[in-house]
Amino acid sequence: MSMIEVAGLRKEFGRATAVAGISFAVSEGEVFGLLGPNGAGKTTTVRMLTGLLQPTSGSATVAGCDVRRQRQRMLSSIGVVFELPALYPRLSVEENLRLSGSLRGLSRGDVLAAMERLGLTEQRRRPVRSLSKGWRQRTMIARAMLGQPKVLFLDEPTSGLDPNATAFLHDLLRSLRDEGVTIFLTTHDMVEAAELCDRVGILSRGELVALDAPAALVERLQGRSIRLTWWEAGSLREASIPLADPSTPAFLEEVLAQRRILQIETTGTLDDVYRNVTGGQEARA
Amino acid sequence: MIAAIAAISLQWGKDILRNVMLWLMLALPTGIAWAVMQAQGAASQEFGAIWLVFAQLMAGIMVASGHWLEEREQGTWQALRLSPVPIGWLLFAQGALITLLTLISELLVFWVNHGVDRWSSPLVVSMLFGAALASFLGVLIGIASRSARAGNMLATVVMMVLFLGAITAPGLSGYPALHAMLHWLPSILAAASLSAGLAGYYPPASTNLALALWLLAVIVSLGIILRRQYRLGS
Repeated sequence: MSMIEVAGLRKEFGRATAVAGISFAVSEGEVFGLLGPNGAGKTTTVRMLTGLLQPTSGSATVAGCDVRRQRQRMLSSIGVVFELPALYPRLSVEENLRLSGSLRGLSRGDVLAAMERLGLTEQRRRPVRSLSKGWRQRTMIARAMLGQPKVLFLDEPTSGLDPNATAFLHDLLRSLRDEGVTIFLTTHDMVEAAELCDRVGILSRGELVALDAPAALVERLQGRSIRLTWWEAGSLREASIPLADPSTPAFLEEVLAQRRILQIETTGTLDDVYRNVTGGQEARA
Repeated sequence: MIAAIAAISLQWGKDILRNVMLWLMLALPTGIAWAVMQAQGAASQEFGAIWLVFAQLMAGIMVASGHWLEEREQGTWQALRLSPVPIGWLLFAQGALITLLTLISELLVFWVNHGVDRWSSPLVVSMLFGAALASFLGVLIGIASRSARAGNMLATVVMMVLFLGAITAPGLSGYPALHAMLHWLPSILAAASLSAGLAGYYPPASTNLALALWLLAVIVSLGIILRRQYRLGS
């Protein structure tokens, strides 16, 4: 069952096309990553899918609700974590969460449970302005999880977090996926995308230029290969060796046996695919 | 829905009351009214309606716009738009909350100027009406402004124009054309309504109707701006 269905979604700002008619679907319990350079249309896509921005054309349903016509109903089924903190700095962690919880008709018990899950209980009386970025991010995630949403949108969730906070977030997202929550995240971190996402879509200049599981994209678009540096006839040689080539195993066996290899580098990562399909596109104004 | 609105208003109230700058804006009219009272004695009571209008503008426009500009700057406005409660209800709730704070500010100004024994229901109705108009006008400025800086400037200009209008209105009677035009300025209408209230009777129906039309215009403008923001993502 698809929790997110997007068909020909397009957004224009005057003459500029931010999102050029993209289509994809995300299944229930899937972790889907939307990748792309700055200005590629990721945030615009998330804003349209969360009902913050009206699409110019095309359609999208989230949790079975049309994002245009059933926006209010849809908002009861989703949680959103923004890249920038969107909390009341003078209010405490608990007060911020109770404010959001009250809008969803939740009790204080629900709020306390969310704080418990995110490890926020000890911090609950602290004003948000006194928290580190990691704790603020946890508070934002706790807020997004209030009301047990079916779909969780995360815009650059680990941007600027330290490794411990990032690891905590990754573990949390995995456990949410195991519970059947559909996760839609945008990220610039290819390692994170490859580790977390069941499938990724890569946006470039508003177009969806790649869409598949990370491993399949690497296989299909980049080809699995290794970069080899070895001695041959007294000189140094370097080449990219495709693993799928039938002659490769025999060649590797030979150079390994003769101990002539100086360096082996794996290539064909999601990062390579990303650079390949976006053409090294730089940030657009 | 009502419980949700009440609960969020409670948290908003805490947020507003923990902001020192907003406290100053709420308390300033009372402080100025008290200082003028000390300097001029009972003579300052003649300007009672003007002080009440000042309280409406300072507490209503400046607090409401300041709070919404902050909401936008800190990203909580976006979070509120993702709430299952319709945004119109949330705007109404916050407008109502700031109307209440403005009314308290007005009551303090009245208490400083006149004491507690000159209450009349027409006066409280006039205070409430003006407080609501100023608060929703402040919400409108906060929502419509593209940046905090632009919003603060706009709120200050609007407040000054309206306040100067209310101050100069009595002197405009010698200029019929100007008087006919400015007579419909909301602060002049509010001052007329408050003057009537201070005298213990209800203002003319045309004054109430004009104030109601201003309030309606502000609410309609809010709706138009929200739709535009949804279309353009601003």
